[in-house]
Amino acid sequence: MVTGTPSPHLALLLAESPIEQLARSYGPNGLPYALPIHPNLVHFTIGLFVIAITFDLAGALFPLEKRIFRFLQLPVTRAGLHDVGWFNLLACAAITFFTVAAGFYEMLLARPISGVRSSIGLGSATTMLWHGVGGVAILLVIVAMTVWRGYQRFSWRRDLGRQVQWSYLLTGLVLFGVIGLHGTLGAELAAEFGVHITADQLLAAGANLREALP
Amino acid sequence: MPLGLSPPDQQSLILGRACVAKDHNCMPGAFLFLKVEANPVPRPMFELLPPLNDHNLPWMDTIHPIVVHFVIAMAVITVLFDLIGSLARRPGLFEVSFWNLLVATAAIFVAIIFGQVEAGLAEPYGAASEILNLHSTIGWSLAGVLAVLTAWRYVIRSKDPTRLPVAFLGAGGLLVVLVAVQVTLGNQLIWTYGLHTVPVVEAIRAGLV
Repeated sequence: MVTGTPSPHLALLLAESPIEQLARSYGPNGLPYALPIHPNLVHFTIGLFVIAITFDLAGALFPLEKRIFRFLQLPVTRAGLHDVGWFNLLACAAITFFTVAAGFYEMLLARPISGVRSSIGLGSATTMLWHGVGGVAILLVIVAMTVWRGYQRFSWRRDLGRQVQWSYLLTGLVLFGVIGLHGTLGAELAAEFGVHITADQLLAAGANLREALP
Repeated sequence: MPLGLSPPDQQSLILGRACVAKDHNCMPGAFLFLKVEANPVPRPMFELLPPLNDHNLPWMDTIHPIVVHFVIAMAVITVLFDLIGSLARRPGLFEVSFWNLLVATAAIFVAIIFGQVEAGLAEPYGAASEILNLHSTIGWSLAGVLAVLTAWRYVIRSKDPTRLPVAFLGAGGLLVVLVAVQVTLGNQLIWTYGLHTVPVVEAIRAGLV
């Protein structure tokens, strides 16, 4: 008796998707471990990127700030500041692949609290879509900027004191804004939609936190 | 609940010492934002402060977890670059390490300022109170450790920027362990206990926690 729409009996026979099978055996936070990995890798992506661009900016404006460093008795070279800009960005590009990978794994297991709208008026699916697609886009831009930065360092501007183009610094500053918005969406997934937060998931399931989380 | 939470429109903010009001996060001399439910004395000045939102914060989102990007990433990368610089004999990386260590040290004080304010508004429950106490204590200690390491590194760099004593690498190893413990505790406050998340703040305001 197979018709166009599966009967309830037939639906029971259908296998669960791999993600559904996995998620059933996980803890109250919806993960096979207690604390999510993605938000911890994010510290490295954002920290390294922001400091990389900031130090390249400091290297570019070096003639202006030279006197300040002299006043502080802090020996500094322009090349040293640009070294921070290059190596931090290189580390950022490497680790961000893992940030995005962990983010996708944890997004597949996400159970946002239903019926919630974020403080900027988006639903959970829209927020996750923007955060997921945005994450891949940001990874691509970071990798592209690393290649760009490498060409400037080793080829185009090898013999110049200012190792980076102004357009590179401007792109970096624009990405600060994009990452700020992107991070806000990620923060909302946690603090408003309760994704992977044990206490929020327990509350949504109707548990008493006094007993469930003593 | 000595400092019962009320809906934001009924709340007023006062500045006070966390030690007086609650047993959690008792840091001598640390001024925090505390709420009082019924406030008979009009304090027009305090109305200049933003009211508390559904995260129980006077600003949109928690700021402390953003500032700690620059402590965690820079503290770990400085040790990693020191290690690579020593093993691969690339002393140029020591300079990168030095600046990252300097940034981590500057950032941790900003992280502590926002951490104290947000801890004062966190309303921890159950075991979260103890975790928050420990997180605060290690946080302040980490500021001291980072400051000492930076001073030590400044002297090392002034003498010979191309050489790094093994003892400093060892201290870096300890720094990473301390940061890892601190990050785990902070993670528990957010990802296990959901402090400052909307559902938990709602539950606390409803007297369910």
